[in-house]
Amino acid sequence: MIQIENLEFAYGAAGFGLRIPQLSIAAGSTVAITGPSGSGKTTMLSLLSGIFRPASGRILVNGRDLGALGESERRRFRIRTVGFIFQNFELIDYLDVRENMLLPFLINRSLKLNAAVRRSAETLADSVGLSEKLNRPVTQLSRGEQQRVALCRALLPGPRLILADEPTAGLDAANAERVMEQLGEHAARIGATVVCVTHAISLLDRFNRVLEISTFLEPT
Amino acid sequence: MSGVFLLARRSIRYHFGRTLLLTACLTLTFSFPASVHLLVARFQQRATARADATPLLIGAKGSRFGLALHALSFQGETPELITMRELEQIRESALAMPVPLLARFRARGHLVVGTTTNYFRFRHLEIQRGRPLGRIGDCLLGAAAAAHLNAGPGDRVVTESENLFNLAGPTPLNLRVAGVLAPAGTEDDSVVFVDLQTAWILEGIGHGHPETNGPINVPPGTNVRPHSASASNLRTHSAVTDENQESFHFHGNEADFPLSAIIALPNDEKSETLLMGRYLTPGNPAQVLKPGDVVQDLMRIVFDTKRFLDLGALLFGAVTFLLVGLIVALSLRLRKQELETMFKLGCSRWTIVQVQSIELLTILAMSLILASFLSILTNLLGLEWVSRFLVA
Repeated sequence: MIQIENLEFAYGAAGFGLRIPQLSIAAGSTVAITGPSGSGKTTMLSLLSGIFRPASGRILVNGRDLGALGESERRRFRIRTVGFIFQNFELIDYLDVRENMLLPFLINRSLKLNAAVRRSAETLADSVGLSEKLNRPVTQLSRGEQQRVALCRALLPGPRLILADEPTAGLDAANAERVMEQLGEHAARIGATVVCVTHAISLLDRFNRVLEISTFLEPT
Repeated sequence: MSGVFLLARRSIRYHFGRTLLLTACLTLTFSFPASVHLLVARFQQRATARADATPLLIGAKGSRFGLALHALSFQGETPELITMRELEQIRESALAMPVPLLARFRARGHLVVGTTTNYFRFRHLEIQRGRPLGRIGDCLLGAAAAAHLNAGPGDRVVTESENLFNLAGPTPLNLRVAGVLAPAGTEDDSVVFVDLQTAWILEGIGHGHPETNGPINVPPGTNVRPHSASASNLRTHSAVTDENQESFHFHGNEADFPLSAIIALPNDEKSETLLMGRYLTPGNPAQVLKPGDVVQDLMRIVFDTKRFLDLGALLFGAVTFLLVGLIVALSLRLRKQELETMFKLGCSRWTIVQVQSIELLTILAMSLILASFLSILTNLLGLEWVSRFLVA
């Protein structure tokens, strides 16, 4: 599903850079990427989502070369293919739980917000234990609940690729277990590939594959 | 598109303080010049209409503006007085119908205007309650004056002393309210009208007292009081009643009795020209003026002042828009994370611009609606407030 060949990227002329000679991730697999802070894990997720464009080399996702796409095409690629889960959840404070889950549909005209989507949102919320809190402001939720809202937001459009950037950072052990369990279950149900950056050693056995970043990435 | 509106709506509500500040700033910026413009336009329309409806004004030589303001709007200081001789001369010339005015005293803050019934016909003033002026000591209240004094037909209104420390001067008169005029929407609404004789009594030219050749004993609580310090044994009536009205009389020659202004209603254009010509002689102590011309001159001064206000409003507006720009810039900086998240989730920059624009346009629309409301309110109540302020 994901194929990286001779990828090179740098922040500006003299900024941090990285090179990935070769990396393959199978469709439907769950991959954990570990490594020290500042080693390029988040940058790699940005490259995989098409936010950053490689300076050279190829990133093929489902056969599409992201480096060859323009900005608007990469944006469309993100809408249709990628679900994001962020370390700090990055929920919108002024929206309630339901509206945060539906945010990708509110901001992207290509995603149609209809009754079926609304029902899916309720089912999803029910599956992660948030059905009673759909109309609450997200600021009134616990951190664990907020991350579950972020998980639902990432899953609702039915992405083929889920990119998670330290999704359990800041959560207690029980909430971290719960979030990872739900992520695994739902990703498997929709057949999505999961690439998750994490420092949580205890959660690594939940992934099909664990990659230490230094084994495939070279800082430049 | 509905998603964009939802986001904008939620953001406006969530950032309530910012929304309120921006709306208040913009409302004031829009409403101040609009209110001033409307108020000046209304003042001009009202002043011009009243002035244009008054063909000629005759009064003592002096400030043209002062005389016009006094006779048209009952505002400002009372000009130098003229005498009834002027009125008689106009009447004898048969060039115009003279309408006398004598306005120097006040009754509980409202100017007491002495005139004749011609004034009510000329200004199209109608009695809403009660009856016309029947005898000396009666008064007709303008609609606003009646409301402010909470008085109606049969009630009493006491005039104010000219000078509290002048014991020899005329004493206050207890006026009987004969009727209340219908609202006219003009300065006449705030006035207490009396006939000329009553106005002269207020001046101290006329009075009423019991017929006596020597000192009299007056029981306490009666409507009788000393006329003056120099004639303390002569007690004058402080109110006109059915019993004492015959005792009221005037001293001196009526031709010398005072007037503060005369409104002259010429028979035709030729009469107007002839009448104006009479006052062109240098030695004449009186002046004639066309109120329409005076008000035009006055409006020029008002518009000059308005220009300064407009300049102030322009500067205020510029500062406000800079402030709005600063608030929006700071707001965008504070919401950088939120906008980045939307971008990562596939939101186009155009959609982000749309959300921000809808927020700003909504605030702008709210400000415009509020400013319109405020301007209309100022327009409706502004002149009344100004009038009340001037009366107070």
